[in-house]
Parts: sequence; C-alpha cells; structure tokens
Amino acid sequence: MGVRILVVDDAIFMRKMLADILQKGGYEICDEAGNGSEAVQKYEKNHPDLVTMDIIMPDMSGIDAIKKIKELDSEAKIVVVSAMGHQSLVVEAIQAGAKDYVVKPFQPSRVIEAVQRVLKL
Amino acid sequence: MEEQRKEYIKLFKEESSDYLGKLNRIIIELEKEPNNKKITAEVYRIFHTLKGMAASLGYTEIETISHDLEEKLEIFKDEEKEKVNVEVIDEVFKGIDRIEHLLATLDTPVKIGETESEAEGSGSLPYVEILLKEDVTLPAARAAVIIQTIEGKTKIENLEPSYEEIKSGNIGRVLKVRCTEPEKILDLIASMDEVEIVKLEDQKRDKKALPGGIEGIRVNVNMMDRMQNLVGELVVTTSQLSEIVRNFGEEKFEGVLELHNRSVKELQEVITNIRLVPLALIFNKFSRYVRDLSRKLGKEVNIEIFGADIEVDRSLLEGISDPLIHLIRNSISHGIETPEEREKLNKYRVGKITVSAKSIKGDILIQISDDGKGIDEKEVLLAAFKRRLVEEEEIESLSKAEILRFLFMPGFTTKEKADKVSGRGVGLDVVRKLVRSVGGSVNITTEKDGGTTISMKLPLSMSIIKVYLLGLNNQLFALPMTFVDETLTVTKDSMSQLMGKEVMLLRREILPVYHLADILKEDFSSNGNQGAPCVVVEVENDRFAIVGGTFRGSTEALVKPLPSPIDKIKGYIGITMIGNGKPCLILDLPALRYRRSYENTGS
Repeated sequence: MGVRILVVDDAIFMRKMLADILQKGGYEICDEAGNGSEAVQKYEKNHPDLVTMDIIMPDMSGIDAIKKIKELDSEAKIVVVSAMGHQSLVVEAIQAGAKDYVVKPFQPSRVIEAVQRVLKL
Repeated sequence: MEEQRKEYIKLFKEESSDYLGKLNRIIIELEKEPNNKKITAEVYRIFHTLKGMAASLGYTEIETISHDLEEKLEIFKDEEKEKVNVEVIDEVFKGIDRIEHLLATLDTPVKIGETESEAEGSGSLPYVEILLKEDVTLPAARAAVIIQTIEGKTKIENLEPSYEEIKSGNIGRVLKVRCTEPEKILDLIASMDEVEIVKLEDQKRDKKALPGGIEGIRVNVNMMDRMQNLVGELVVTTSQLSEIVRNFGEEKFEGVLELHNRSVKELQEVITNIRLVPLALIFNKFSRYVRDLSRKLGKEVNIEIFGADIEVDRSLLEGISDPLIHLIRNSISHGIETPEEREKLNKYRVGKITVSAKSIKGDILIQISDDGKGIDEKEVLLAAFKRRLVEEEEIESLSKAEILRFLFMPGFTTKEKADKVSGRGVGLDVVRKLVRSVGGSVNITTEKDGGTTISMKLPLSMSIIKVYLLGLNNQLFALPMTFVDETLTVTKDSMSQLMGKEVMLLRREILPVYHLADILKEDFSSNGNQGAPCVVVEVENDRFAIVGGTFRGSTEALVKPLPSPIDKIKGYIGITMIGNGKPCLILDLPALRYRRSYENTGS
C-alpha cells in the first residue's frame, strides 16, 4: 500500500492543487478536510501517513487541529501549508508538532521535498 | 619600570580587554531584555572584577568608573528587583568606552590574535553554526523546523536567537545552537532545504589556534613580512632548480630535490598559518558600531554575524576593516528605513544586517546584506545620465549589472544633498579601491524594497596567489585564479556578433569576448579555426571570456610590485617569477575590464 495523505485547506482550489501535485508525486490522497475540526475527525477515521495542514481556517484553526491530532497520535506527521506573512503562526504550528512547512504560492517540487523529508523522520 | 610590573600590566590589559569585549556584547543583549537578571548580574560581576584588578595596579580612574557602575547595577541585579533602565545602560556604555580608552593609553600593547571569545564563560560545549540561504522563506519557521529536528536527536543547551525571538518571527539567517552531541545532527541539517552552510565550532580547538600565555610569543610584524617574502623566494628558486634538474635528467639530484621541495612547501604552509588571524578580531566590533549608529539615526537595526572564526592573513584583515565598516554604515544610513517607514511597508520595525564569511575554493567570500530599501536601478541610471556617463541611445541596452556598475565610479551619487554620516556618495569607489589593493573584488546585488547585498571576494593571502598561465608571443601572463570560473577551448564557430560586439554562447549564457592580444595590445595573428584557449572570468558583477594565447598550466605565484618604469603601465597588479626563471606579468582583471568598457562606450 502506498503513502496515504490527508489534505486540509479551507479553499477547494488549494486542496485540488495540492492533491494533484501529491498524486503526481506518487502519493495517495485518502481524504480532504475544509476546517480544523473536520481535519481531526478525518484523521481519526483514516489514520493517514501524513497531513498537509493550512493554518487559517474557519471553525478550528490549523494550530488547534495540530494539537488535537498530536493528542490522538503523537507520531502524526504534519506539514504546514501557509500563505506568506504568517511567520509567527507557522512557528507556533511547528512548536505544536508540525514537522515542516511550505509557503503559498508553492513550487510543486518544494511540496514533494517537504513531504519526502518528513516521511523519512 | 621593573620587569615584574610590566608583566602584570600586560596581563591586566589582556584580561581587561577580554572582559570589555564580553561586556560590549552582553550589554547589547541586556538592552534588548532589560529584565534579564542573569546578564545584569554578570555585568555587575565583571565591573567588580575590573575594579579589583585596577585597584591593585593603582589605576584609580578605571577603579572609580568600575566602582560607580558596580554600585549603580547593584540595585537591579536581584530577581525581585526592577529592570535596568536606559540611563544606566547608557552609563555602562560610556564607562566601557572610557576604560577602553584608558587601557589603550597604558604602554604595553595587547597581544594580537587575542579575542573576546576566549573569555566566553558559557561552557565548553561545541556549538553548531547554521547559515540559512539568502532567499529563505519565513526564516523563523525554518529555524523552528531545524530546532525541532535537532531536539529529536540530541539535547539543546543554548540557542541564539532565543526561542522568544524565533516565536516573534523577527530573526535573520544565522542560527547558533549549543547541544550535547552536535556530530549527530550536522549531516541531517545540511541536507535540509534552505540551509546554506552548517559548521561545527569547537571552542577548545579555537583556543589551540590562538595560543595565549606561555605557548604564544609576540612577533614583530616586519620580521614576519620579511620571513614570508624569503619563503616566497625559496618557493620560486626551488621550482627553478626542479626545472634545471629535469632538463639535465640527473637521477641523483631528483631524490634530494624532492625532499627539499617538500620541506619548502611545509615551511610555506607554516608561515602562512602563523600569519592567520580570525575575522572575529574585526567582526566583534560590529555589534557595538551598529547599535551606536542606528540609535544616532533613529533606526532600529540588528546585526548577525556568521563565520567569524574564519582565518585570514593579518595584512588582509587590516585592509578590509575600513571597507567593511564603510559598508555597514551605508546599510544603516542609506539602506535600512526608519521603523515607521518599515511598518508602512509591512516589514518588521527592526532592520537586519547580516555579515557572513565563508571560504570557497581557497578564497574568502564576505557578504554584507541588509533588508532595507535596496537601490533603484532607474535612479542610478538617471544619475549616470545626468553626469553624462551614458548616452541616451545606450540606455535601452544596459543590463542591470551594467547599470549597478556606475555605483563604483569615483564620486558617483544618486543623492542631491550630502548627509552627515555617509557624506555625499555611498563611496563604493573607495571601498572597491581598498578591496582591490588586497587583490579582491566587489560585487553588488540589490532589489528595490528587498535590500542590498555586497559581496567581497578575497584571496587568502595577499602575497602568494594561485594563477593561470597564458602564453602569447613567447611571453607569459598570469591570471589570478580568484576571478577564474572555468577554462575551455573554443573555435571561431562558437563566436558571434551582438550589437557590434563579439560574444560567445556558453550553456545558454551570452558572454562578451575579449581577445588576449587586444587586451595586451599585442599584435597577434590567429591561426584560423583551430581551438583557442578560453578563460571564463567573473569580476565585479561581470562575466566575460578571455580568448587566445596558449594554456601554460597553473602555479602559485609570489606577487612582487612592478619595478619602475613599468609600474606606470596600468593593467597589471604585479610581476612574478615562474619555474623557468622568466618574469611574468600578473593581469589586473578588474582594471582591464574597466578600461575596455570605457573604450567601448567611446568616452
């Protein structure tokens, strides 16, 4: 079975882009979520190998979602995908347990590099 | 004065300088976090120590200053007391300056090669120094990823910048981590995105490199220079001998000569190493300088330094000290905006200057970058046009690099009025002159609103340099390897004309072509379409190809000044003797290119 990834972002467009990039890179998209609480639910349901997590989302922020997911599974591997200019939030997300970050607008190669690195950890 | 007392004074001076160096550094930290009791207590303790030392030698003024400051700090140093106020910090700075001045006027000089880092008390654990790439996105986030990665493998003892600073998001490109098992993490971090260099700093090793006390002796600088010259001569005569022996084919000599050769090489290495001093000797002054000047100009600026442990020839160090200060001054006065302007531009209030040094293929690369307003090339072009340095019809065809080159012209400025700190121009012509005089070159890259980076490429030593040899009309010419990017062979077919100038295409890059014979103003008939040597060089924002002559290998050359009257001819940095005893002129590539570009613009 291949590597299964959960893509979390409130914008459908971003989810589609990320999913395309990851699928092209040989990864399987097991599910998508549009906000933090949905992300936590879907993590529990699917137990993916990796999560890509947006930070600023309605309902529950990415940072809170990371904390919740880490409570469920301390080994969870999370890559933050964030827009430019939210540096301190990204730092907070990393301190909450995310393993790497990618900045929007992203280069496809950057996304794949980050995912590969985090999977190796 | 009796011997004993002289010895005491020498020790006192050395130790006090260490303490002052340390004070200068930690007081800046205290200014940023006035509530840090650990630093307050340390400052207090240092003044207490200084007081005692000065008193026992009878230096009453140093004693009084130290005593006053010790008393002033006393009320702040304990946990429950209030934070240190600005007035006290200012007084501490004044006190440090006064003591520094007083120390300088005592008679025995401080030993060279002594740095404040030796006085560093914070443990003997080695630390890992990390430089992030110049185009790193969200440096603080990258720092957080790195820290997390390290924490997964080993224990972090100390971190610079602190967790809090990283959290606030306003950090630069340098990260220093003291941890228990640094060897474990070096490769891991080096392989990460956006990390440029990772280095392990072992303080114990530093101490060995900078002997103090009984293992070190002071040497007269002139003697050292003479010694190096003599070794240089030895290197040359030895290679001449080798050539003669090779021509004779005498096997008997060859064995002995090989041994002799090896000893000379080793001797050369030793003398080169003796002359090496760490860049820290000048880099350590920068923090204080940046603090003082930025305050005076109403700006907020932080400086970070990378690679202060890199060692260079001491004459080189002297040569680059002024240019570096000049460039930092430029960054603060012209580059970095006021806090208010920065906020409007959505930048952090506090500007950032990064000074980094690294060694690349035997050369030293020093870069000074700021995140200020950058240089608008349109303004440069306008100023150049006003000064009739460029004709209207040329404007379209100038590249960004060509436009930025005007900044290095004598007296060039885009400002109408002079200011107190940096005068009229940015004075890059002066910087370049000084850097060239030690055999280096200067490059500039800049982005409007994004900041400016000035890169200085320097040879490790001024007097022995690596050169490529090219032959032309039975003469040999040497090209300093600092500027050489690659060598290849080209034919006429690879050349073409572009806007009346000869160019060649190299892997999708168009390079201007200069013929060696033209540069040297020699007559030379090329031999049809046979392959000709081509040396691709990069000099001060300029890449071009020198074509022609014949390759004659590479060698180490001892640079000697040109004897009169040929010292009047421009275009050579000096003369050297090579293996066969023939004199060989060393090309001054920056100057040659400059001369060419004048001719081309027809001015």
